[in-house]
Amino acid sequence: MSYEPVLIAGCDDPDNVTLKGYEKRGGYATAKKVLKNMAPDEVVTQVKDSGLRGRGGAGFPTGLKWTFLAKDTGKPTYLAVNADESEPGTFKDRYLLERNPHQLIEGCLIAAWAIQAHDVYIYLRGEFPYGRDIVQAAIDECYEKGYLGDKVFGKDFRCNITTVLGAGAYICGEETGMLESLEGKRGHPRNKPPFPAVEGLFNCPTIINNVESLSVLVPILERGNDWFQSLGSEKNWGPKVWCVSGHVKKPGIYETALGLTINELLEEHCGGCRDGHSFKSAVPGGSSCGIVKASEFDTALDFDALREVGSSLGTGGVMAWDDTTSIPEALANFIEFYAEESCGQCTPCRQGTGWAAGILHRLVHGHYMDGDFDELERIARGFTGTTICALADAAAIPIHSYLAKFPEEFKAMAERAHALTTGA
Amino acid sequence: MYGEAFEKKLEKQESRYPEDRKRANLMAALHAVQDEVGHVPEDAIHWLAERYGISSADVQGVIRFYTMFFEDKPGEHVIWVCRTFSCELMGGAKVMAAMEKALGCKVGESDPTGTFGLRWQECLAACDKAPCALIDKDMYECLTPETVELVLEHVKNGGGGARVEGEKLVPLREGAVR
Ligand SMILES: Cc1cc2nc3c(=O)[nH]c(=O)nc-3n(C[C@H](O)[C@H](O)[C@H](O)COP(=O)(O)O)c2cc1C
Ligand code: SF4
Ligand code: FES
Repeated sequence: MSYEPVLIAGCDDPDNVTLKGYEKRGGYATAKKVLKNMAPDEVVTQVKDSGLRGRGGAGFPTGLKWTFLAKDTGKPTYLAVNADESEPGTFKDRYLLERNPHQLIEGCLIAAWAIQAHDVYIYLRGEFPYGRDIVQAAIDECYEKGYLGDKVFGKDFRCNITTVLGAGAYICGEETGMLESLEGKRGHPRNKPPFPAVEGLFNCPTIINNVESLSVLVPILERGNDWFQSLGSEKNWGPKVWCVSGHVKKPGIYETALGLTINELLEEHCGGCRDGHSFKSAVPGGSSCGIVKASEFDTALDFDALREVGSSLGTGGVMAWDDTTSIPEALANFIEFYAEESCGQCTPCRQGTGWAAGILHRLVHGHYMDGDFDELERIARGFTGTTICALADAAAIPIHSYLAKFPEEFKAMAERAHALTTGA
Repeated sequence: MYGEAFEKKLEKQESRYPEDRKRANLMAALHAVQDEVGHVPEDAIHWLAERYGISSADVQGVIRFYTMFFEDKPGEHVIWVCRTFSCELMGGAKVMAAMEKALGCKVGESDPTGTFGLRWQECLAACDKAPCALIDKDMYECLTPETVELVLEHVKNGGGGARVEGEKLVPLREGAVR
């Protein structure tokens, strides 16, 4: 079945970043229709019924999250857009921000109307100054045209969108770390509860959604839930943007319906493995996911199927690795990442990720000590479920998964290291 | 502090926050200061603290939390080479080594003339164009050790983001808003 992209459509056209270019392909017609014809509650209900699951990594149902908003608090409600995209292997949001900014803004308008938020903050990671300029230019055009401001589309609805640039901290992608940063503070995640929907930005009810989750609202409201649920499978519906890197012939951005297999994505879309090699494994959704062996590549890329092979969909950042790739080196690289990016509030995370990174660093540099692997797993168990945010849990996932799926590689590395140290 | 246009910019940004929450603009204000002078000097720290009714230690705490804010001049141009795995796989470490050699400094330092500061950064969200680097506000993609000198020269001459193709640098996305 041929699939018609709804998120990356227009992204190859340089004009698409301008209001004129976006409107040329029907842009803002949906938001206008929604604000004119639908009550906010109706939008919430439609998004809830669509079954859309968040595209930021956790896969939480978007409409359901919206229903958790505290009501009648007398406080304003905020929408915060997570454009912090820092999960290793993930580059879809950058693509959408730089090439399809108006669809994000249109999605923001739909969401803001649904939850009756008058202030939207788009938080972009500090490494996206170019994307921020593009999005800001698009926002400026919308103010001029009356699509943002005191009277959106001439209606009695005020909506402001503000872009905020981070400054190099993965933890500001964690939603409460992001809220702290939006308040002008260090990005220290908050203890939950209270959840942001009850007490978020400036202690007011706040919804946080990912760039792709918001962008996909436009086709959902335009085409309806039947269309949305014609893509993918039960509870794993809709379009998805994939970002593929590693040893494929054609790394890059792809959009399909959820639920194609890893094989289909890598072979049919990405041209397969580079010449002279074959795939060993892949990580389907950023570094915080379990690893999938090539023998499991017939698994569908969706939220539920990947769980069955000990992985998860995460962000859709697919890293494909061939037979030359060292799994222990991959693990060492990623754990170094978590150690570097731990915000330092929780002792198990701050210390544990550092210890684990130290052991792995030693190992890949030829020094193995008896019991290292047990120690790694013990440390990972120590920082699972014992911390303020999920960064530590995320770091534990590759440790357990890589050791379980590729024990022979770790063993071989230990033996080599042992031979090096003893001269045997 | 840095003239009228600077003050106007800050006031406009601050207008987006509730009256009693103006410190929310601290991230933007720190970026604005860095855009003016390349780092956040001590007098700016005190000035921002006063402006937002918080302590200088608080401002400093924020600066030190984020890798992209600097209390000391990092170099006129800051080079952020991606350290994370998709780039490592494609030779990121070799690119860094070539940078160190070309600049005559180690990662974490600036070159002897103060023109370039050299840093590692985590995944820059351009993994399909590995190995890559962010230099100031622009991306440099598909880097090779052989073309490092070319890239540095390009940056010194004010060139924008580019991708290495063979032995050449090709500008990114011509025609897009700049
Ligand atoms: C350590 C950590 C980093 C995260 N980084 C991001 C990120 O960069 N972008 C993102 O959208 N979500 C990120 N998340 C998930 C967010 O906390 C949040 O669930 C998401 O933005 C919600 O949006 P969604 O429901 O639309 O997916 C991160 C979570 C954790 C624990
Ligand atoms: S788990 Fe780690 S990153 Fe998260 S709050 Fe604790 S120390 Fe910070
Ligand atoms: S790993 Fe270098 S950009 Fe993602």
